[in-house]
Amino acid sequence: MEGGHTIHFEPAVDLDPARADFVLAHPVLAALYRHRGDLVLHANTLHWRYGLIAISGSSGAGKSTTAAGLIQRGAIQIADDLTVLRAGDHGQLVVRHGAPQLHLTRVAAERLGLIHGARPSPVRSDKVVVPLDGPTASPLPHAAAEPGGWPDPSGPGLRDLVLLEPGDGPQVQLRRLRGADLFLALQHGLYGPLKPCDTPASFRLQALLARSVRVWSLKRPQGRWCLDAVLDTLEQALAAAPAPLGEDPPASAEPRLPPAHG
Amino acid sequence: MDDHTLITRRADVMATDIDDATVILSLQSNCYVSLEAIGQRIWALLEPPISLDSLVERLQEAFEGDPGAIRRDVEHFLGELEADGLVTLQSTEPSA
Repeated sequence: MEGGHTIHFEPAVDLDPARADFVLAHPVLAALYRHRGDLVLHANTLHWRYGLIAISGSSGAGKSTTAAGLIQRGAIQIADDLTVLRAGDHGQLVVRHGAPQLHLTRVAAERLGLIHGARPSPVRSDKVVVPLDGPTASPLPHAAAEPGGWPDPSGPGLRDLVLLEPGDGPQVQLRRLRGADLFLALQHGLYGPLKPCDTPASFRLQALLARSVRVWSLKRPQGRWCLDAVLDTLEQALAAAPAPLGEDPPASAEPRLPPAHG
Repeated sequence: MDDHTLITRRADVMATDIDDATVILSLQSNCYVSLEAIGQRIWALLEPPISLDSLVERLQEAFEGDPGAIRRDVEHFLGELEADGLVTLQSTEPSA
């Protein structure tokens, strides 16, 4: 990688092109944006009626399934698996628009009625890739913006970050994180290892995130878990919680997005 | 460590206040340390650099307690900050 703009990539002779695409579009792209000074989260980001919300968690935590559930409740997907953030003009963190697709477990895609048009994941045999745009797209909407583009820097920033993980009880447990707990938990939401040279910029943006975003710990039951219970808990909390940065909650129930710039 | 030991925040650290905590990153070790309550107060008093004697005096003004115990606790805490790569402890000669 050179200067944050050039990637030299030499595929092995027998490398599956779909697998190569995945590697380039995830860990390599994440490293590129970190190198540019952006903050990269392992998260799906959506525009919901409460504003921009990122669902983060390690592999298997259920973030894509939760994202699909939010989409079915009217949210619009902004980024799948990789959420790239940078500082906007007003102390907010704006979100780069990702590819119009959703990586889901095959089981979740079938249960949610999204298996039609899905293609196998190139890296996980238990997952499929659900297109959110194009002729074979699922009925789920996607942000009408150029993938890879950045929104208006004066536009809305990320409002909520949910750190999703399996819990040890039978109930969904949601609590807002603050202070040192917030910062520690945030480290688990970062995508990939930080190189020492990327750390100062990352730290500044993490501090900005801690001030401008409501951060939540959401523990769902292990094994059998009910998506509706997770979504209901989230919806109740987001509706009741005070807005970050003294903002008023969005008045419109229908998410509307400004166009992205390439 | 004596009365005139000068305590200085290292240049290669970054810190931010989040709610009721101060989170400090050492760029040298790439480790995070979070301070709350008295630790947070002490960190704030280290800018600008301060002597151990002055630091203990400021803390005695703010907190009740046995002066000897406060000093021992502060020395122990500063030793931890030094080990974490967050401060330097420099022996200096008393001014005439």
